Amino acid sequence: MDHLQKEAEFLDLVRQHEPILHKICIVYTSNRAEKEDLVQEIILQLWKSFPRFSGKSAFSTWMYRVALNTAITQQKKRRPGIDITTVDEPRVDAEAQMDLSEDFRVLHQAISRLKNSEKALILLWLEEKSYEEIAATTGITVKNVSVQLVRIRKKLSGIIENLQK
Amino acid sequence: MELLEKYRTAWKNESTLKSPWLSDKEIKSSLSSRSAHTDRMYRKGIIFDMVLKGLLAIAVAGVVLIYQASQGSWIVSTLLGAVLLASFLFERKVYLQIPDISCPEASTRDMLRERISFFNRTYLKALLIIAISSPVMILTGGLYYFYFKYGEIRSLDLEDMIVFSIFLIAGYILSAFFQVRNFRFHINQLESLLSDLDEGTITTDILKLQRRNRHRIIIITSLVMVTGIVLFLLLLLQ
Repeated sequence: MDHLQKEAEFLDLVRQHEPILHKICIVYTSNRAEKEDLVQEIILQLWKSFPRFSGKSAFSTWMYRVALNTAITQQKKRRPGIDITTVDEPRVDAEAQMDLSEDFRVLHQAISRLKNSEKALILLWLEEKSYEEIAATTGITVKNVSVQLVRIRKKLSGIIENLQK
Repeated sequence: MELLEKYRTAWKNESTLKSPWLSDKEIKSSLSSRSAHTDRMYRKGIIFDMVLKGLLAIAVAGVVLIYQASQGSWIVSTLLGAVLLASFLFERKVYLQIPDISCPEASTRDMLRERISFFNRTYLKALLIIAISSPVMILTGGLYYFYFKYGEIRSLDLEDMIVFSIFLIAGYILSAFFQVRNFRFHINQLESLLSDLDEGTITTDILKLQRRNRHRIIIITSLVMVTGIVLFLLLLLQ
């Protein structure tokens, strides 16, 4: 397969799975500039890793793994010296939020208050991935996924309830 | 938890997530963009120091020329050249290892573990080697100063030697301190992430052990460097 064919195949797959990029950017960024940086970095990392994609797992699973890893490691670059576990008030990208439903907006605001590792797990849960798939993506055991998701969901519910008060 | 099901449904049904978001042009331009990834920052740091060491090597060779290949200048230049060459080769080795850790298709936990391990074992040592540039720069600068001021390598009395040694040691320690401090936050963040992922497992103990090892490496390497610089000075100035 020549370079152009390979690139065309890659672009086609990314286009088909574009919502994954969109969701990860929504969860891990809070403004347009961060979003643009992250999406560019994810696509670049996907492209670099594409020759090693064997097709044993679904493209979407592989894409989630690369994109989440990139999003997690990208965090420290933007805010050097600041602990990424620090919980900030989310900065809302007004233009991007205009078309979102109220429930989605609340959920987004609540997720932005989670830690980065929690965001990855909750995102995969929201996407209705099985515990096995979440475990394969994050590298933690199925039992640990189950225990952590119970705790994170409880935390997220608490945040949402507080936001609604 | 039922509350969350409502929001999960909202997530699933959110139409804006399903509609095309990126243009073909945007996706394609990302392929040709340069990585903003932090790995690049580490590579740049090492490349910068390798270039600096190259320039220092030229300056050290200049010492032999300006002192007209006197025995003293040969000894100093050979020793400094050997230190620079050894540091340069070590940094090159570390530089070549960096791409190996950025394997984004590995699981998040494995990726974090690899990165933490790389930082603790290899990159930290590289930072301590990078810091050698400062005392070499001070020493080389000192030799040029002697030439332009006195036209020869002056033999220093004890007081001068102490002051000069303090400058060299302080140059090394300050440089190493700020470089290590600059990267410490990064290691802490990765460890914190791994710890979050591994809640309730033995990873916390592993992290503590790695932290202890890291401190030990810093102390031992710093002591070796300082002792080396002092011995080098004694040899040079006696």
